Amino acid sequence: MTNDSSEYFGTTSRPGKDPHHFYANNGQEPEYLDPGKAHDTASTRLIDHLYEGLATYGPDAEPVPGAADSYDQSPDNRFYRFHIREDAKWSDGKPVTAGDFEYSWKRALDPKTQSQAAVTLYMLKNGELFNQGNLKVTKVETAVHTLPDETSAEVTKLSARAPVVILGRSPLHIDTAIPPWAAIPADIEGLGYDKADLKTGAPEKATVLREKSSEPVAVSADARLPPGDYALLRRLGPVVCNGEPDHWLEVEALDGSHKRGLLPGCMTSPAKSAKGFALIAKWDATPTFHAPKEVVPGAGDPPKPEPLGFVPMSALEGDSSVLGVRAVDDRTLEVELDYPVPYILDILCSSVTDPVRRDLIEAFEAKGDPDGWTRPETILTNGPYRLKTWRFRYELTFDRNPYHRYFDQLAIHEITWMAVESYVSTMNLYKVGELDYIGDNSALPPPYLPVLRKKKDFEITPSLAEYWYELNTKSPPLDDVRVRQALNLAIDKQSLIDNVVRGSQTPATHFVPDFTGQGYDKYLASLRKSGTDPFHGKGRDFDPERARALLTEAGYKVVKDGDGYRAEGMAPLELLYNTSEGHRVIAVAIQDMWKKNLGVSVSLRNEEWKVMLKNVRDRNYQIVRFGWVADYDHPQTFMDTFMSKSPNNRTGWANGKFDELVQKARSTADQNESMRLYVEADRILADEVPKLPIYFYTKSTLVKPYVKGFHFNRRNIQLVHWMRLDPNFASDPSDAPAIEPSSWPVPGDYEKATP
Amino acid sequence: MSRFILRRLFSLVPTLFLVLTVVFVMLRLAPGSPFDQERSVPPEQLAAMEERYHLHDPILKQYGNWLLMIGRDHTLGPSMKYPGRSVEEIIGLTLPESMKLGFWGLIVALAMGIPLGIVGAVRQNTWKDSVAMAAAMLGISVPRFVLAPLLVLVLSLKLYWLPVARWESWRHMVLPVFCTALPMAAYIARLTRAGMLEVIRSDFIRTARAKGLSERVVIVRHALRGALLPVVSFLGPGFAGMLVGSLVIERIFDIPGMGRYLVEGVQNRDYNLVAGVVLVYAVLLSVANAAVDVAYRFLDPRVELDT
Repeated sequence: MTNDSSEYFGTTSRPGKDPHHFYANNGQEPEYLDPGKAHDTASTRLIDHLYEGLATYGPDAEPVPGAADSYDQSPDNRFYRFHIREDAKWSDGKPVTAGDFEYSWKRALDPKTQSQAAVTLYMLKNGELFNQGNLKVTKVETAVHTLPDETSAEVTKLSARAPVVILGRSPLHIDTAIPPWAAIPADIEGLGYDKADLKTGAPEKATVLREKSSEPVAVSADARLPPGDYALLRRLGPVVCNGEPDHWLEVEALDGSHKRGLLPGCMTSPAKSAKGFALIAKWDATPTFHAPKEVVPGAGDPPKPEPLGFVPMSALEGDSSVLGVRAVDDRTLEVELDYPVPYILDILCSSVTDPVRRDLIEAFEAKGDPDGWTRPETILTNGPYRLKTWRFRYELTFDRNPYHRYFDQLAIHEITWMAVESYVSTMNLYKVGELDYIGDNSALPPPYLPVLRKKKDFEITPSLAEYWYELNTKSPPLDDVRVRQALNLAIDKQSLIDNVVRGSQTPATHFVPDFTGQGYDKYLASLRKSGTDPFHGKGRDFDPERARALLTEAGYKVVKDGDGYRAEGMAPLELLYNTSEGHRVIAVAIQDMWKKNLGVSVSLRNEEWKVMLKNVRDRNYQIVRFGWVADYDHPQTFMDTFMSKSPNNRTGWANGKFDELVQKARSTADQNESMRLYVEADRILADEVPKLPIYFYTKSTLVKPYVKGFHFNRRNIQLVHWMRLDPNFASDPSDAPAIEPSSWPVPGDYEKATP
Repeated sequence: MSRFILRRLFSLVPTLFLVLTVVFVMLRLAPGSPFDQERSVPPEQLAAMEERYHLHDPILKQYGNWLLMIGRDHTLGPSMKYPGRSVEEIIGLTLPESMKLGFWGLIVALAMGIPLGIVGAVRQNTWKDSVAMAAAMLGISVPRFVLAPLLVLVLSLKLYWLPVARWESWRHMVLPVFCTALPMAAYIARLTRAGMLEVIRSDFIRTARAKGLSERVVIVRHALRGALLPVVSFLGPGFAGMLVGSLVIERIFDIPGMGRYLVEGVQNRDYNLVAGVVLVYAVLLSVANAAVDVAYRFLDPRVELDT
């Protein structure tokens, strides 16, 4: 082998290889090549090459025109109209139509598809309700009754195809030893409820949470409702159960005893009954596709549904026309959103918004093989590349799509994606020249980083992802904010990065990375220039003395104990992480810091991933390691995980002011004002620390010097379309991409522009 | 003989049944579901996905459905982690690669181990014996996940003689097969030596020598058969160890074999796939053990098969 220069890691020549053939490692077997269902990066990265959405990631991962070449928008960022290119074609030559997009998005949101990527489309009007299976229409004219019984009084009649929201179902199955309430209790903040666990033998437990205290609810064998099916009579006031919004339900026994009681929904479960009823509310908020004349904040917010009465479940069916997307004609797609999304172009790059072919999918569904259409022999795609071969768990190869407009301009004609899981083997393959690039979805083995950093083909970039520890704020002493702050301030994050993690990460004191786009980074920079830094200084950076003072203030006096400290009266805490060497070394380091700086003992517990997820779901933890990778380049993706209603907020922490700030930030069209609100919200998080921010990730990789057009970015998305292999790299340092993507023309006015 | 083989084949059925039942129950007792993710899935959707695979039915019902699926529909079911792929398809694609690795590993192990063991026995207590047995000890002690990267470092990264990983040509097979074979070869060497030492002392060997046969013929034609008895009885569990150890080799060399599903399938709670893989291993091992017993009969006519 020649050219084994020690400046670079391994060889820089590719004897015997086609200069238009690119070799990269995809790290893992993709789960789906179906845009409607794929949600892991191994799948979505491949889909980003095979399919093309309305927008696509450019050379720096910025959204550039894809299948759409222009768009119109409304001033409040809630209505958009996209114009599909004339020359957009599928890999069989048929034109890509707006109808393909409409079908694809509706299919992804259809509960029957069971797509785990559907969350991205919740921005569409009624997207979330529809996907949860709670927004349906009446099949024919239907009577609404006061009770889940067709003989009960009629409230009103609904016309055919009237949209309704399901607020509750009847009958319910109740099997709890917690006695029902006779009336809604006053002054409670919420409830905590744990079902009995048959596997571990843990008994059922309910707790009433008041502002300053919590009391367990006594279990009573006499007063309990006998287990069985119950009719739902009424839905009463709201209550927070296990951190999620819920309601009080009045139920009545169906065994003839007419026993009644009030229980929160979380203590019931759906009953398996053929004759089910739904408690419904009328739902008038269907898409109009007309933008309002004036921008009224909160105008698009869905109304609060009021219970109307009961209809049989059999009278309802799903109807995707309630969704805020429609194809006006073959080349025009109109979109109506539930809330303003200023970053929609970024979202439209993600794979779930890519089009799929209805005729192909329906043919396979008809023969009972709904996932079989993605094989190389049958798949139809519309991106610059198409699927050539697929060797299961080994490699996939792509070649160019002859019908795509980039066909003649692409410098890479073929791509081989390997599925090597071992980081060391990937590195070795790169060294001997079998790989041109380690791959977006693979990583470098940490022990080799000190050596690799010195090489010229080593690249490192800050990454839109954060490593954090989540706290169970319902579990004392973590319910006291001073304890949480003390734990945060006692971690020397820079030392952790320098000595343990060693990847030049940035210590985190808050939750939106400084370099987040869409104007956030600019706003924060200007704020700091003017002299204010909300995220550094007292109460933010490592400060063991202040930490000790806070802990003492919280009632756990920190006294000197030999060389270290001891926090009096503080029971040991438990730190949970999923089994991994990386997480272990960090946990051990932090455990040590807490002992040395704070005198707090922490025991470590590691569990296999799925076991850990289950325990976290059941609130069986105190401190748990998690993190978040941004779904799109905007603060909202991080803020989402702290919203009180978010399923990704496992901490039990809820703050009305925070929720309000984020809602406002999201609906504000003024980018600067929006970012100001996000920073305010992040300030609350940095004060309250329901999660302990540890560090912001960096991503490092190796890529051969002859690969041009590779712009390593914070999204870690580097599409092969833009790359070229230049054997003269030594003499020509330019890194221009192979193709210059077009840019977006100024968007038209949604209402004025004619579709 | 044929009666014996038939009887062994029949006894395969209840064994497999038992193994599969145990695996079925243990997998479902493990906490967690195939569909747990870090991003939380709406509970209704999670329930729908679990419904699709009947994960909420009572265990007996699930068991019955599963048996029906195998017996009536002749399929091992869909994989829960790899949609659109049936378990038979996955096994059909990956088993041949593992078998290639295993088969050649076995051949190489025998080809290396038996001669080494013979040398050790015939030249007992000489330096040749010590060297042979020291090599054997090393081969047994060095774990595969140490040996493989070491060999890759020297032979691929420094000397460029062989590829670092992947499974394309015969050259790609050299290192994985050697790493698979070495520990087994070492064990075979020790067993051969022990067996040979025992056989060499028997009367019929003395007779053969007395008849004036050359040492070579004595060893190879007469003694070897008996010497191989311990080797043969080891081959059953040895084959098992090799199939299971292939997981490490497969991962290091990126070989699309079947070994990894045993571990990954459990981690992913991919119930059908784990059951299918266990079924295959159970069949392979039962057949291997039966073959071992038959071979025993050929090597030593004194052995009774039908007991």
